[in-house]
Amino acid sequence: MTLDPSLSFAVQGVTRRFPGVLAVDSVDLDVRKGEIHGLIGKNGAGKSVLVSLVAGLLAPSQGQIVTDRGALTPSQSGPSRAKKLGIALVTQEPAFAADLSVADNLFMGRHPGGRLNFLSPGITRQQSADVIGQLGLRARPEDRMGDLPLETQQLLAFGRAVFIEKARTILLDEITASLTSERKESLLRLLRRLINDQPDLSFTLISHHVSEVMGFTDRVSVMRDGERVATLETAKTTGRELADWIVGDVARTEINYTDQPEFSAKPVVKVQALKAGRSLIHLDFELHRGEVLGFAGLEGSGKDAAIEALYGLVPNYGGSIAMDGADVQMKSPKAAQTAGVSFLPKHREEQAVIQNRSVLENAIIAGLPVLTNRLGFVRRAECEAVARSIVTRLKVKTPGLDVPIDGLSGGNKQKILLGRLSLTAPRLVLLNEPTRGVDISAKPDILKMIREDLSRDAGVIMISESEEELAEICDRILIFYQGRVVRELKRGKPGFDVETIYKAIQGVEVPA
Amino acid sequence: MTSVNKFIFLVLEKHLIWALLALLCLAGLAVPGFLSARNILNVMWAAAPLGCMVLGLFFVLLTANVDLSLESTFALAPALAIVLFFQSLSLDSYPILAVLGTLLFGALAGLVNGIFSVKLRVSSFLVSLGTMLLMRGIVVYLIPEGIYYLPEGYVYLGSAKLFGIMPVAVLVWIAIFLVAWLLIDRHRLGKDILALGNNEHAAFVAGVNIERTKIICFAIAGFLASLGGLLEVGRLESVVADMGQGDIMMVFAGTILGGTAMTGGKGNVGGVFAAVLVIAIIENLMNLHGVPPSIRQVVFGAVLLVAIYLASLQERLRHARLES
Repeated sequence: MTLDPSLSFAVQGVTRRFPGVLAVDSVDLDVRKGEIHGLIGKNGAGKSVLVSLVAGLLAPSQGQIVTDRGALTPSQSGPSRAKKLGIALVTQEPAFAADLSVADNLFMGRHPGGRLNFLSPGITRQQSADVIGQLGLRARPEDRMGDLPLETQQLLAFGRAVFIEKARTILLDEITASLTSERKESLLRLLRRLINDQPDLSFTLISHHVSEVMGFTDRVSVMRDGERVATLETAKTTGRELADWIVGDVARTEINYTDQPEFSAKPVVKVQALKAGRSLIHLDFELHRGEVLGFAGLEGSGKDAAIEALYGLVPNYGGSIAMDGADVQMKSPKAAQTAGVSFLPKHREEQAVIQNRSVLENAIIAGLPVLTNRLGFVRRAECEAVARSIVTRLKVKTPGLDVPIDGLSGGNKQKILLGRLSLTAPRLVLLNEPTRGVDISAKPDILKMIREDLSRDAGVIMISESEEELAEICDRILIFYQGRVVRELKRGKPGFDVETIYKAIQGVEVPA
Repeated sequence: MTSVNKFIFLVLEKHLIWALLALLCLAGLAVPGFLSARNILNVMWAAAPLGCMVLGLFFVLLTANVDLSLESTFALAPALAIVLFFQSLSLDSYPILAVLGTLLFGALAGLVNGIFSVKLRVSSFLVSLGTMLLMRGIVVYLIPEGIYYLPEGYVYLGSAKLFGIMPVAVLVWIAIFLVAWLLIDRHRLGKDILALGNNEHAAFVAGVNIERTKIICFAIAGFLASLGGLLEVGRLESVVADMGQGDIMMVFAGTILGGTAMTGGKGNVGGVFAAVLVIAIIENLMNLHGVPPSIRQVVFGAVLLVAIYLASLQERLRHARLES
């Protein structure tokens, strides 16, 4: 339980198991006082779980997290204990009450009470104004939190941790992701100044952006597959070296790639100078029947905006979209559907699954226009046949067609949703993270279905956070960076591998 | 935007209910007999019991819960106190005990609702639907024919008038709104209520005692409903078995008209106060106009519909202003 006095906190042999998954595997990590420590790794590498363990949101299965005020152990954990130890977590999406004022949010749960717990609004106002001033923000204590830009809210959450909770060990989870470069600079200066004033502070910066970690930190630890694989002095390393550590030795996946897309035929989709929302600046591409095109990029790189514009979710997009040579206005999802586009949203439970209804209904809902007679009555037998074919073809594990879909696993739900996409015979299929929240055993089935079924008569565009998946099933991959396509990778050409994709996504220079 | 436009926007966005109130008063000017001190005070006197229930529901709605049983507590708390203290114990010479008993029973009824829905995690709509029916049943069992002769001390708060004109009930009503304003705006409890109603997870992470705060709100609501019942019993100088039955809809109307969100975490005491006045004045104007009782409810429903629609515009106006 003893802790080197120069350390802010130490993770000692911490393991965290979830059913069937070893998320964090006997990790040791020391973060020094006065240090900005980077924690980097790919999605699923275990860094978020590790951070949750340090912040007390999860209890470790084994091992402990030690600070000089005490430790978090498997039996003694929890957010309030972590707070007592001086640990604070600032997340990407701050937990604030949107309708309340800035001051009320900053002091939530710790309003300084006077006599009989009545408040002195003057004091909280004054202190809130101080925090805002320290952070150099444009906001007033009485402003409604929800009206402020997200980045201001993030910085306020940071301010709450530092100035109001007076935490000593501060974990910053991806908070720099949405900041402008100017803001990043001023945040960095602020971190340095705070450390200068209070040398016992430490900041741990969680990120999957190589460039940020390189620019921000003193040391950086790399997580891969639940383990800490390296801790490097930032000044003595390079972005290339760091990216190598992050990716590791990738076992090349087996590619079951047989059909050749009709590259010589006319493209099924042709997009010119597409501009959508704030994040997508410019996009040109063509997509052929039978082709699987991957969109890869960081959050906010424009890949999501592109796919949303193609499905009519960004009505005031710029540029032109043509399908089979004819210009189409994607004004609404309805217009997109009429044009032959179908779409799998990213958030399955909120945006695609009809909760509490049967597997059958969920399987056929998109096909209802072709499964009803002229009076709008549903042809029950045909529906059953369609649903049954989806279930058998995709090997969906379900006790029957009439059970509520809620009981199925994530992977099986996703198979039903993918199955129903093809009911309307689309020409363009858009998939936003089709393997999100899907158990490992179901992934190969889903990828095979995308490759072999969905792309048979249509062009497929797929977004995935997993470079391995993209390399496994795509014919081409467009790499988005800051609103533009910076590289195009083709199957069979040099550079079509996980490592190159990862580095290109990060904006790290790679020789073409 | 010109400053006039800005002013109009501000009024519509933040003080719509007061604008509505002013409008109604203007309309009232044309009605003889409306703008006399006596009439206004009578309007407020009649509105005070409803006002208490509305304030009670306001606390519960802020936590994103509902309490339908307030209308039954409204009758049960006084009925129980009267039967217990005057009929069973014959304590007619100590009416203050019955008054305190009434308020205690109300708070207990609220507490039970709160504990059931919060601790047992049952939807408060269902819990309070059950307790609404149950408590009404008890009232009918206790006083099937009503009670018409009550000790003077017990009806004092509801019936007495200071200087022959100022009903004590109106003062009580104003006083509880002031206390409620203090609680919501200037007390830690109010900050906790608003925080948890707005974002329960954020409040939990920030260390707010979620369950206790919610239960307190239910207890406050029950207390206020019984206070409303006490005022109503006093005003009518009697208690009958169907007192308050069906009133909960009007209570909802008032609370929501006052700008309280059913989703929790949003609302202000002043707005709720004004909304009760709006409802009372509409009723009074219809009386003075001689609108036939058969059509009164139709008019009332239509007016409420429009008013609630206008109130719902506030959110959109706010967005419009932010974008401009």
